[in-house]
Amino acid sequence: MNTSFRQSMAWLHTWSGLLVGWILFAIFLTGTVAFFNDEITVWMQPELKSFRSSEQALGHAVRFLEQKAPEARRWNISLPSKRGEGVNISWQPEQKDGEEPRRRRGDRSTSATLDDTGQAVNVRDTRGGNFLYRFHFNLHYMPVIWARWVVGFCTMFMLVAIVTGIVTHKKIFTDFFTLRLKKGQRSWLDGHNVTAVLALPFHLMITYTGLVTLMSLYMPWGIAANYKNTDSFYETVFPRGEETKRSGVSAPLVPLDDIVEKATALWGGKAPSNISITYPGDSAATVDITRSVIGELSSRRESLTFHGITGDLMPKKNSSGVGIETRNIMINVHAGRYSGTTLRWLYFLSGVAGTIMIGTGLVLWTVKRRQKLPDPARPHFGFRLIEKLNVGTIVGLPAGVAAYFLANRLLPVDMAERPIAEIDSMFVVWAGVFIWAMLRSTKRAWIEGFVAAAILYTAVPIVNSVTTDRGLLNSLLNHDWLFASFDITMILTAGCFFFLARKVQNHTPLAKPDRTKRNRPSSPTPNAGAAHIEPSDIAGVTVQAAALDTSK
Amino acid sequence: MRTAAAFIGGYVIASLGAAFLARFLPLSPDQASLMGAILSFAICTAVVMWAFAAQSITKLWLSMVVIAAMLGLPVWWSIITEGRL
Repeated sequence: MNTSFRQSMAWLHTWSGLLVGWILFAIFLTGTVAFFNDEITVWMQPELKSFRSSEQALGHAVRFLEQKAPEARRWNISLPSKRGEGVNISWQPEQKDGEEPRRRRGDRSTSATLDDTGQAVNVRDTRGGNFLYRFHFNLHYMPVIWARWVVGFCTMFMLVAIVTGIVTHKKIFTDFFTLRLKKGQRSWLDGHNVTAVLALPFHLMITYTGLVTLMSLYMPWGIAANYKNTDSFYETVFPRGEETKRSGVSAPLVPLDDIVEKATALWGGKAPSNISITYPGDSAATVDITRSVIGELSSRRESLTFHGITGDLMPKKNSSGVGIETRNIMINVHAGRYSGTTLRWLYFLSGVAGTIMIGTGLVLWTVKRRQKLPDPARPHFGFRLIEKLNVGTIVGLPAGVAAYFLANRLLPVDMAERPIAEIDSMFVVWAGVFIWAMLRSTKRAWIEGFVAAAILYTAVPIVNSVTTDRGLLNSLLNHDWLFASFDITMILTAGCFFFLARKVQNHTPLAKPDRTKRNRPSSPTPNAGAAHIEPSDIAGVTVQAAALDTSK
Repeated sequence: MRTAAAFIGGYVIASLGAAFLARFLPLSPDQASLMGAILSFAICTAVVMWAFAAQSITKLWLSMVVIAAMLGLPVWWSIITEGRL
């Protein structure tokens, strides 16, 4: 390929972007939503009212556990935080000899959520926001390891697409401020560039740190080079401490409020988020207390261990070093759990920009190719397929997410396998959009799809107010900002989709410019903005376009 | 083929790079292992970009083999002489 470096990078950018674009769109959309996964989970469990104080919460939790699971191996208590969750408790039953400890995540027989008075609340079973969070790296309906390899592969493609996009972008700062509307392909390119460049540091960060988060899978060779087996590496870097055994002698557990007080003092005032008691009621009991990492960038799981009877702090080995610090910071910056409300919204908006970047990139591909077709009115099969896949993904997934929320409100609270039914609803609707897109002409599919998505999003707050007592009006009156902002976001999203539907409806394709005019320097092409763009144009190599395009 | 060179070459050279950094960075072994892995993704990106910019595919494959050897042989030698933990 005897092309310039910039041109070959442009070619690579286009192809690497498209091939995995649909998967990346799904990863980005669900990942963006995942910044608010805890809040979404709260919204999806409307039976749970928010808590006023956590001092009582701890006492209630212990009393409940003493009654329900006095012989358990381990008690886990998570305390209410500013993000609105309730007191979630779970316990790990003592396993019989020779039996492997098995606990499915969210196993209802060994977990409960307590309300203000210490009673277990019959909260509807749901995966909540955590399904969307886990989807963005585990996908669904496939073994987790496969999914993570697919995601990793796509992420590396995205990293290449970002870096080549930067290299290709000769006038990256000028184009930052350029958004030429109503100019056909030029506008799509500008939209793609703006959303890409506007949050470029975020995109670069989120992609690279995403790879680092799963690097033990993708790149085990760093460890393999220095260690014969991974156990010794993990013991060095994540020391677990002594594995204690039951003594068989019962002894009363130290009052947990004392432990909380000691830990808070050691942490300079920071509150705990989780407490875990191993072998409660036994004299070998230990208490692990973990604190929330809001506001901290380099910590992962700051926890302290106390003796369960005396309440003395037990020393713990801590690993430190440039490698583990870098890794922790990268994972934390990716997940954004350290962020407060404002920064979290910024993360979210950057993620939305990234999602739009991928979406506009996918559409740009078809817009550009359509002009090159011998007969634009009757494209060949491959082209039509890509157009349909675009509609199916860009419309289908958001519609599916709305359906997930609707299923949460509409499915019977006590039905069996409820979380799975909610999740399946999302995929059923997504598949429905794909099928619809295959059956309709592309333009009608876009319009009808966007309208359908808009209707689904409008339905969410309506169904919420009809099926629960926490509709928008009530949440505004009660200062329930979490519920209110969720419902408002649904309405704004619906608005965006209605807007997009109208845009597509009013869209008339620009006339293909008469190419013969280019060869006559005395009469420049009338609409230079819609001139046919070659890949090399992105690199600004074509001199003619540069000379004629006075709008630059 | 160019694409194969990009994928295979990218992953192999990045992995060898991670191992190389793990062995030779002036850090304790656990920290060096981590840093090697963290930096390997940048190596992979660079190799993929290089693979598509290169003019001659034959030259590309040959260069990749040479680079892999330059990274791999010191690592292998270091493991043979000093062993692993």
